[in-house]
Amino acid sequence: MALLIDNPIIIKHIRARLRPAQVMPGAVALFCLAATLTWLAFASQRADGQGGGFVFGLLWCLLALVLVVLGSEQVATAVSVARETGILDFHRISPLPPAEVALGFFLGAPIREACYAALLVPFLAATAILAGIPWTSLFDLVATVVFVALLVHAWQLLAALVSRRPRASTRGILLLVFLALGFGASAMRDGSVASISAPTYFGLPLPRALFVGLHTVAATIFLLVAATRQMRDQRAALLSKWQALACLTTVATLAVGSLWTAEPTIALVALLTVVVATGVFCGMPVAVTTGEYLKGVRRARRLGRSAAPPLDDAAASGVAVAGLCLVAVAAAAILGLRLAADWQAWAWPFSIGLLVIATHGFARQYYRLRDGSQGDLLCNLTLFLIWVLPLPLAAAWSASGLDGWTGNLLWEVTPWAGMTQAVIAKAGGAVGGPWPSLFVTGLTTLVFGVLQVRQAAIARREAGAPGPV
Amino acid sequence: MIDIRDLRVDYDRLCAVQDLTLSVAPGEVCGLIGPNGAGKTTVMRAILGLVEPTYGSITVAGVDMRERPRDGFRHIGFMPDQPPLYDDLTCWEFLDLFAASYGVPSASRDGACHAALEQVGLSAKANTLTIELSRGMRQRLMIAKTLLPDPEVIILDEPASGIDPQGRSDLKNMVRELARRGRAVLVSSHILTELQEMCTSVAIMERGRMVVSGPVGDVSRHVMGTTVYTARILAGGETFLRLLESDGRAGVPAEEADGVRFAYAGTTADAADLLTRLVQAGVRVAAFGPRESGLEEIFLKVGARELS
Repeated sequence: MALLIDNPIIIKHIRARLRPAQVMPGAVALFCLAATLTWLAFASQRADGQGGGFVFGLLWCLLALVLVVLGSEQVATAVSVARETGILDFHRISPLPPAEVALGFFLGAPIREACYAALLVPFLAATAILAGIPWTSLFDLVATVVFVALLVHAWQLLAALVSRRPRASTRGILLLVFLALGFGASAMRDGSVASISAPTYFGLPLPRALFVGLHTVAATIFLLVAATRQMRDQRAALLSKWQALACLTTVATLAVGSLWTAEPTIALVALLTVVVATGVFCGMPVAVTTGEYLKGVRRARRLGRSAAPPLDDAAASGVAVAGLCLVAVAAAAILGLRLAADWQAWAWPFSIGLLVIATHGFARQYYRLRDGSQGDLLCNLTLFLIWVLPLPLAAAWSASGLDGWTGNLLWEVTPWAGMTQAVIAKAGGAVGGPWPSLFVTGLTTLVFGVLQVRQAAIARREAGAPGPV
Repeated sequence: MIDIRDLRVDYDRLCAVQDLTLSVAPGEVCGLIGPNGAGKTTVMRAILGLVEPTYGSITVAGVDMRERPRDGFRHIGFMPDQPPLYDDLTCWEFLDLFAASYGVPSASRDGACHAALEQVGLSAKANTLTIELSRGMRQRLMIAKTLLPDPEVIILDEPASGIDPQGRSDLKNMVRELARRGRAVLVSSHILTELQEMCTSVAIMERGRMVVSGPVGDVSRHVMGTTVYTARILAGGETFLRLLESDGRAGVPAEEADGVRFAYAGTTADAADLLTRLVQAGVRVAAFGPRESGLEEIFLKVGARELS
């Protein structure tokens, strides 16, 4: 709370964005539009007992548009302008803690949109009453918009701090979020969601809004942690190694808790997808660039050590990647033991998943140690060549009538094929085993593991030399 | 006030600052000079915590900037060459934002902001949006923002660029006044004649290293080898020349419009002894003192030596 009360950045935004002359035109227009729509709902309900639900949907979409889309545009604009003009550096060198600055932009920049959204809520409630939509659904819908808005605002805040063209880069994401919200609202309004059993967390039933909140707030917090690091130091990695481990642990815990009572096959496939995707994502910030690694080595040598401690920001990511794999194993074991009597059969898809996390982590570290931040391009290209290209190549090979064995092999060497085959085989399907995939993914892990250790040794030798000035 | 020891800063594989040591004491105005790419801005950014040093210590007003940067920032006022302002705030709101950021209590903030505006002659513009200010006014508002929390250390990066002669004169007077009040000032500028008028010490950087630093007179002596003295003699010119020759440390004197100029290899105390002997020998001396070399002269000589 101390970060919110008397937060100078929030006060700045309140002053700049809530001047009556600027707020009034939009507020009046929105009020007139919402009042007209509510009147329309009232008239159509009186005429034929229908139409209220449609108007409710329109108003809800307007709420999402104002809060999620327009609000996040304001966050991106405020941070981009502050960054471009250099005033963000003034906040960086002020005694104000970086978390307070990040929260100030996060909550302050969309303050006008928040007021407009608050103005819409009474009309939304009125049309909900006219359309006979239960209060619980209304609460779930409004809470979902608020939670999603917070998540998207945090994403925009981080994007604006790290990206050169934040607004252009996230416009597509905003559109997707908006469409997803529209479909979600439609389902909730029609009652089709209500027919699905209430969500549970580790077996405990939770209200829908709380369930959505639990997941979005966790994601929002990690985005804000990354934004706070950027506020402190523009060159810092998005997450420290400890934070990346905490991020995967949180996501895995949320996934295990949410899938605690789900059907075993669906639950384990979902967990595999979530844990591998998050593990790969967390492997990015922990990989250190040449410059940072050399800095860590030079600093450590002044203290009589050969390199930075393994979980330091300036250390190579080998130990952190191993930690990420360990978290993924723990999550798989906990849910596997809980749901599947034959949980050992799930060892193969999860093994390939772990090797995917490890290959990505080691490859990114190797290329960043070799080529600095430019190494990301080569890393992405390599992973595309070994993980993605074989899939269309296999399809083309098979379609062109060439030998089927090679086509199959091209498909089977990718980790995705390996995981899919292992899951289908577990379900009793007649497909080949995951061995080619396991072998190739294991080999790439080993190769990149060795390469990154070798590259770190080269960098340590370089740190001993005076270097260019 | 500012104490930098063995500072090294790397940008990827490039070493931007190497083993740099620099001190700026209270009441000192230190001019940081060097060619483009010498590392001046990196040093300033390292003090401000905007770049993370590879190693070395930076202490500001007794606070270790790497251990407790937020505490250190309370003691630093920074003014860049291009003053960035929030265009959607009034002058008073802008100052209030930073007063709150620096922990000025809310009860005294209003008065402090108005006092700061008055100090820079912007009282009448308190409720004007900053976007409506001229370039000079923006610079003055930035000075007000810099001085509002009464920092002990002031860092100025090219402070005089883009302001009119009156503004430059005001800035010079302000810097002198700050030094008189015991503040440590570190200023970087390409306009060396201007630095010369306000600096009491100088630090010359070249390719990430500190070439020479210290009081302007010492640096001048160190770089130029000897000190050039000027004497205005009203009577006893021949005695003056004889004593000068007999001293052995003086160079060949040359007549100039404002007196006689001569190089002197002795210390300040030796020069004082020479003056005493001149007076005792009956020479009427109207003026006698060292003529310090200009910063530009020193900088060019250091640059030439470094490059050779």
